[in-house]
Amino acid sequence: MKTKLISMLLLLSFIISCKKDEQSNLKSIPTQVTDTSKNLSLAQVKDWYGENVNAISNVNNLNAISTTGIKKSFNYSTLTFSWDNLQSVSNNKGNYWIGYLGGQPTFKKVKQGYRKIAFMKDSTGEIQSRILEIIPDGLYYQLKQKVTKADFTGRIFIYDQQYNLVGGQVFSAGKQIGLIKPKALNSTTSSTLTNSASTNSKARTDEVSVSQDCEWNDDNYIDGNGEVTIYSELDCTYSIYDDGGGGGGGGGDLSGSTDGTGGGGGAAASAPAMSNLPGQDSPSIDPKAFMICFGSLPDIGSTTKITVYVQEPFPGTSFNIGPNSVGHVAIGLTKTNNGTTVTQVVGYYPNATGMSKFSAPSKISDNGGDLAYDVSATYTVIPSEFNQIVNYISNPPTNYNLISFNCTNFVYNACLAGGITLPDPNTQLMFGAAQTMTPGALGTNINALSGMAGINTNGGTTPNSKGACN
Amino acid sequence: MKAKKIIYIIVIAICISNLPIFNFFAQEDFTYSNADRSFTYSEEGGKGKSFWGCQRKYGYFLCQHPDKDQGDNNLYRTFTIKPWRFWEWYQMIFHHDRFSLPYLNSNDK
Repeated sequence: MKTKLISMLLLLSFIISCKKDEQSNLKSIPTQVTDTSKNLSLAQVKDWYGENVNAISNVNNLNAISTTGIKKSFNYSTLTFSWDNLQSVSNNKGNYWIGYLGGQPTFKKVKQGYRKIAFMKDSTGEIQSRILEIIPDGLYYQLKQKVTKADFTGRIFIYDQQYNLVGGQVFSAGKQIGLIKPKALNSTTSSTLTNSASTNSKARTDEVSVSQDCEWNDDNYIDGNGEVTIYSELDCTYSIYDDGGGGGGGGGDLSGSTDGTGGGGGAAASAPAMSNLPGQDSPSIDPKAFMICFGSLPDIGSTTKITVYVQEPFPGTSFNIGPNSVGHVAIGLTKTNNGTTVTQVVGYYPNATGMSKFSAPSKISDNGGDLAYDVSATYTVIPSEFNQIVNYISNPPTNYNLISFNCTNFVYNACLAGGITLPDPNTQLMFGAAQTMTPGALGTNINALSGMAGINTNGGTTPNSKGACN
Repeated sequence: MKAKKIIYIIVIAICISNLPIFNFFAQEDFTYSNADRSFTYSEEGGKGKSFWGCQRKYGYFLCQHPDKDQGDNNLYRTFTIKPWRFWEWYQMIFHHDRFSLPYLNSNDK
């Protein structure tokens, strides 16, 4: 009996001990399979890479919409990078490993930017890799000479490990301003690539309304794998309408604006007298003091016109440089009511000297009566559109840049604020590396409209501006 | 022979530097004013604002302000002449009228 009892206890203890092992095995297996711990070690990455490097490939059409049926392929093992250069970056989900990758994208026909490879865990704990193509804006890179996260301007394309585009972001001065997504496959525009869809929204405060205009545009570039990638990019522009009334009546800034919550504005039948302040004809002007003059005429019954004056660099040609150096574009605004006319002609300039003019703080100058222009285009607008242009000029962009935002951009955007689309002022500089708006291109395209109403290709001198109003 | 070559190179360099295509960056923004500085003007080299425009603007200014046309109604240059600026020699030779204006020190009150 005693022997039997001991045998039973031994068997029982053996069974329990076996179950213990089984339990501990069951516990350890899930931690291996679904390890969602946030830390990712380099050893784990290397193991994953070793197991998957030859297994990951893509023989389907990649990011281009093939019209020829040619299959384009990608093999993960062709990516070249150094393990020593991988760096761990922490974020709120744990960490990921990132390092430079060989190969370079071709954007706007120029090899530029660089590639990176990243390894991270997804929500299930599986290790994934992503390929990033980082393309800084050409002008940003030219000015800064290095890329920093704080002020990055450019595009980042994100590819999965099969080199399929999964998305991306567009940045300006370190802030995200747009999105990138793969182009929809059912689109038929494989050659023109000008498909677009736009959305528009407005936000408003007591004195300022912000208008957001977003548009999906299709474009393409050659990725670091050497294949054409067609993508859609969401670009947003924001325009700020400053009522500036500060509440209450009087003041009469931009009376009758469609957005107008500003002062009621006087219904004066005549414009205020010319001010006679010392320095009123100073080289740079206060655009608000010039634009406020239009508030003295009521919108109802007014005729409002916008004229764009172009002094071409090399008159009669599309050259962007010539006897008139880089040329100039000015904008003239005319409001007529009951026989009284107010005209202001202004232009956008760098507030600097010498080479600093390339990129400098901006200033607005009076171009009335002193600009010998070669061509001009006149548009009749309704008062509400006119007021939008007045408002844009009253609050001009603060930075001038000869390439990215010059006098032509200023006039083009001012007109756009009032619903006028000028003839295309864009031209390619430096073998297609940079596209910019120039007086030469605008002048050429206005010249091409010769004979149409409002187009003057005989040149002349800008009318005198009324000047600042008290 | 070598000296002749150097002289040629210098002359060509000076000629090229005086081409108007460089005005935007190279040419000084010449400034002007009337006696009491109620009128001031600044050229913008290569950007449409020239001495010709200045004269037009000053004429218009005097029409608008007849009181300023009394007494000293001269237009003054407020920039100093810098003859060493070889890239402006073309302007000094062929557009010397702006350099012939009487000088008004911009620091004078």
